[in-house]
Amino acid sequence: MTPLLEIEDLVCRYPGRRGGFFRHARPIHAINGVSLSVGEGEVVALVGESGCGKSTLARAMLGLLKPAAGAIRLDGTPLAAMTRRELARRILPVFQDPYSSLNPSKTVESIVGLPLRLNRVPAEERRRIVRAMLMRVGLSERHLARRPHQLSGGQRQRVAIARALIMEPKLVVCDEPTSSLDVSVQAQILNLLMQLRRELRLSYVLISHNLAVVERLADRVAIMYFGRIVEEGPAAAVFARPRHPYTQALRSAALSPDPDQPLPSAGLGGEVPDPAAPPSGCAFHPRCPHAMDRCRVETPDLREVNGIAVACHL
Amino acid sequence: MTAIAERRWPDAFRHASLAAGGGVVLLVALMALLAPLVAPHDPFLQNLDHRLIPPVWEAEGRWAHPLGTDALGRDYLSRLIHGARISLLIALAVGLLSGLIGTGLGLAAGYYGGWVDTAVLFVLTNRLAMPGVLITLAVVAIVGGSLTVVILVLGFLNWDRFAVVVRSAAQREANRDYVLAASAHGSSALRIMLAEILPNLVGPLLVVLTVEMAHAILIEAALSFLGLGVPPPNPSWGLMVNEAKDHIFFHPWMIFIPGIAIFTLVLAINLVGDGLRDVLAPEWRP
Repeated sequence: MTPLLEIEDLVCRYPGRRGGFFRHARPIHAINGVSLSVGEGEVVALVGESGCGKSTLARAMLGLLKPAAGAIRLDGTPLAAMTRRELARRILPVFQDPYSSLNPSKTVESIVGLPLRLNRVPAEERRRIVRAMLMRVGLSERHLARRPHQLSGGQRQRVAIARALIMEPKLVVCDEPTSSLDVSVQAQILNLLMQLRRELRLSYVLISHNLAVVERLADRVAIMYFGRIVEEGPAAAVFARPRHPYTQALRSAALSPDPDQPLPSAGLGGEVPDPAAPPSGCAFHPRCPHAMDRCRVETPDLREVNGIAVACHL
Repeated sequence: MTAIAERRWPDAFRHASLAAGGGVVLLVALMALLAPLVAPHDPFLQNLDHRLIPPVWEAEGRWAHPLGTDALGRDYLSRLIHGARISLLIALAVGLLSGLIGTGLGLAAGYYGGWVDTAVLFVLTNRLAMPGVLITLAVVAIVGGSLTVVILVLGFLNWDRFAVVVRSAAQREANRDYVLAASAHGSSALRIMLAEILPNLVGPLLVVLTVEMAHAILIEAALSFLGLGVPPPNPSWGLMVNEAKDHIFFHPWMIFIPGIAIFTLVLAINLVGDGLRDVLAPEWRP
């Protein structure tokens, strides 16, 4: 069975800052050979620090960014061969900040109805579908004429979800869908996402910092570091026994809700390396507690052991 | 950066300068629209028996000509009222034309960035390096002065402020996720610029529009005063000042009246602009 979404050896570059007028810009490799697949109805989580390439990967999946190398296939068809509109019917985003992802000068009805309008659905039918979708995400007709600034954060995120789902896509890319919301609202939105997943048989790519969320919701998880996937496998197995030192560090840095537990140790010293001057060998070696000589020279490949792929020499 | 939020409109009436400026502009606009009905005389009708009659507040003034008559015996009030048409027409047409050019260039530069931005900035720098008055003089000297020429020249010269303001505002908006969302849903770049970004720029655009309209009125008056704008016998305020300059010592009111008219209208439009800035977008200050 072909997976719904298949990413193969993807490389994405950003033009780097130019050093001077005559010096040539050295491109920054935001994603460096990532392979990942998302099956039908599956929730795949991408986890990693800021700047590790999660959002770049999301943009590439949405076709908003042209990859420098590698391929992304949706249902076996390469994204490059699809038109914008075809793509927009199958794979859609929910962004992190619903204050920025909804146009402040539009009404809820026109925001949610926009994808339909772009696909030339007649006005009457549009109205009907928009209403039904608002009900589905837990809003009502009262909200049709409101503008984003008249809504709460949770309501805004519901509007953003309604907009993403209105074309009945197969895959939704959620870029930190709850991190800008109040804690009390986060659970509501996550429950809504999961309920919709069952009802509409959706697949999600879930980008998140919140390991607890990932552990609860994801079927599979991919840990990213510096533009590469360092560990990937079934969520339960990865979290039960993290193998890559980076995953272990992430896991131990997560706050526990139990107040008797001490604050987590900082775990990792140092910072994410400068993408304009990448370290040699394994990108993680400057911060890795188990770094060996080999790590400084040789970049480890992803190797599968018992269904979990790890990129480490250990 | 909210656009025209509904709840703000009542504030507009409470805002003193907006109310005062808006009132004057509205009055002048009404006068201009209804000029043939409001004006007591034909502004072109010469009556050589009734030349240089002073306005009513002077000793020899009469009520038949409340603001007196000019050197050709034409009723001054009627010419003033008809002159408002020219000033407002110029303000609107120039504002619209330069607004279209500047907004278009600014949107493209702000949204696309990169080489489009560089190209627009290059055109803008070139435009700013051009001496506006000299170009106008040259064009009028070659083509001859007329209302259309004045509107076209000013419209094609005065778009710089629109472009600068729209560019920076569009840059800010283009980085927001709603633009990304619209593009992920398959919107074309043109649709994103016009339907998603532009509505959020209404506030700053209106403010720049008022500034440019006031500016256009002043420049037209200056050109007409130099004899390079609207040709006689049209009743332009600048032309009226020009025609009155021979009489400045014996009939100074001939200069004061159109001068005060220009001053009042420009002040009123600027007050409206200031008021709009406060009411529409308190955070937007140049």
